[in-house]
Amino acid sequence: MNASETLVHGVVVTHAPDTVDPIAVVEALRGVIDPELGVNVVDLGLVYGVRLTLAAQAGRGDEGDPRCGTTRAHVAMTLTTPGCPLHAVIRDDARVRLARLPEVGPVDVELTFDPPWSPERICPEGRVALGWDVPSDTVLERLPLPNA
Amino acid sequence: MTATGTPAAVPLRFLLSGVGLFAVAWIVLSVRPDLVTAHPLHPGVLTVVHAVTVGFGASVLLGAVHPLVPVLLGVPLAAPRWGGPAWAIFTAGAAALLGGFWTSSYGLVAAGGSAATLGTLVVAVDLLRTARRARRIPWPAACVLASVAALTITLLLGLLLASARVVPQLAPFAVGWTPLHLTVGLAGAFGLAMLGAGHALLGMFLLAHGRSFRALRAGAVGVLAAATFAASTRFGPALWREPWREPWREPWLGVTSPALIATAAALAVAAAALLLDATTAWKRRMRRRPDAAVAGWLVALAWIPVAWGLLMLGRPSDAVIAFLLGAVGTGICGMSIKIAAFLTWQHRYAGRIGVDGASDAAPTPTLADMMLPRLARWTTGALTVATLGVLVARSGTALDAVLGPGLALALPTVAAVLGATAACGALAHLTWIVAGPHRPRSEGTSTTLAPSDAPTRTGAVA
Repeated sequence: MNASETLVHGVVVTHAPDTVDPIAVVEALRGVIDPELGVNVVDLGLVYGVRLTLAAQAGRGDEGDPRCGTTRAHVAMTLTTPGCPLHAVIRDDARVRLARLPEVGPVDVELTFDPPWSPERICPEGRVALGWDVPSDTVLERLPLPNA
Repeated sequence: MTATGTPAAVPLRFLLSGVGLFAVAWIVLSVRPDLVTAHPLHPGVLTVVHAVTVGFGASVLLGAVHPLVPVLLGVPLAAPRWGGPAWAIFTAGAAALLGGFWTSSYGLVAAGGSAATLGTLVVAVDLLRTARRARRIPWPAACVLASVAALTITLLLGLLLASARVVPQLAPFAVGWTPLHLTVGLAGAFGLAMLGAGHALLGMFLLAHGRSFRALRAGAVGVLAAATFAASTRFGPALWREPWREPWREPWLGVTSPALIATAAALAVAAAALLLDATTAWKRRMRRRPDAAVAGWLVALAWIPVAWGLLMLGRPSDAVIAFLLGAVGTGICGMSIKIAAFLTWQHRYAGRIGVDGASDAAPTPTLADMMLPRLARWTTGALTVATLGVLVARSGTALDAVLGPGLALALPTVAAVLGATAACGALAHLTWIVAGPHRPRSEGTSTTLAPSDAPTRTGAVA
């Protein structure tokens, strides 16, 4: 089965057909706020990628699991500092916010430091939230929505 | 319990008691403004100095290492439960030490110093065991660990000096240790802590990544060299230790022996490294405006070249005041606000995150919501002005000529009252952070695009 890639707010979402809307997934992740910076993890460039598969495809939910047929979400994300004491908080917040989405079943949040995060990953919205003006030559990429 | 496995109560107790004793130091100066210009060995001056160094600086350092070292080393503390007893022993010892200095009872000073040393040793052993578990010890962690070692050495030297006042037989052994006691305490304990913790905390709070450890290495070498040269004032050859007799040097340079000049030069290297590291963090920051607490730390660093300049001008007591009240006092007050907010957030609010529905029932504040920026800015400004006032008040007859005798007489009181108010403000701020009701002031995130404007791009993959 072919998968598609959708870039939403700088996050590459790889999704199979019939899974939940990638935009809804990324928007849910934008609700995860770094409590120290007050900026969401997507705008900080902490989310490296999201993979959405059908739960049955992933080998789960096919044995009477009530979540059979729902989307399984796998999030690869990082933190600004490897030893960040907030790692469990941010990971759990991401997991709960995705699990709240209708039709989303199992959620895996993988914390990785390979590659390590660098400030270059902060998107223009994140830069604005951190107090910087977006450079005048920055053009936000606006391509058609997947089903438009 | 924080995410690093450290009970939040332990570092918070150290921070609260430390800032409390800082306020006590300023209050004593307010009540006895004559101490501003008194001899450095006056009992009242010794009380104030040790209230700032042992009571405040060391206490905050011992508190801050509890959450910081596990983060820097990537392993939890080996014995987090030791923190509570360590705090109790250390704080009781510091209080006895200050009481001993105030009453000139050196038996009490020695007893209090012993307890403070024991409390510090408990933390130091815990950190040592923690470090042995770590796969590697990065430079910021090495500096912080070395600062605790330096604090332990300083306390032991102080204990020797105090014991020599009680047991006359010890007096010959205690001669000549004061320069090392001062250097290891000020540059070793506080300087290294500011280097290591400053590098790590500015990196986190300013989002200033990618800085090299070169400045830290240079700073650590500078402090080590300064301590070695200071130690050589006791053990080195006579020509090295004794003051030069050339009269032309006297008015310009207060420290005239080659050993002390070498110590001052090494301190200059350490100070330059500390400032260079902070400047690099500022240039590389991704967070444009630091919050008021971190700004307080940065403002305080400006006192370090002032202190060194005063040392070079032959005013070592003023140099110590500029460093202790300006750099250490203002800077640590600022950063302790931030550390307390971080610890309290983890203790009070982290449990809500990741629990379905918990955030809906009671919105979770961010760290910014827990701090009072106006109070933090006022504290930084008032402590800066108060320190400046103390230094100006010590300028003696020149001050009378400029301000007139009346104002010159009132300046120490005004400066001390301002400092006491600011330190009490910092204590009130900490208390509010730990116990206050925090309300989210904003949605917590600010974005320029509405969800429907999400920039997207699609493509098929095999």
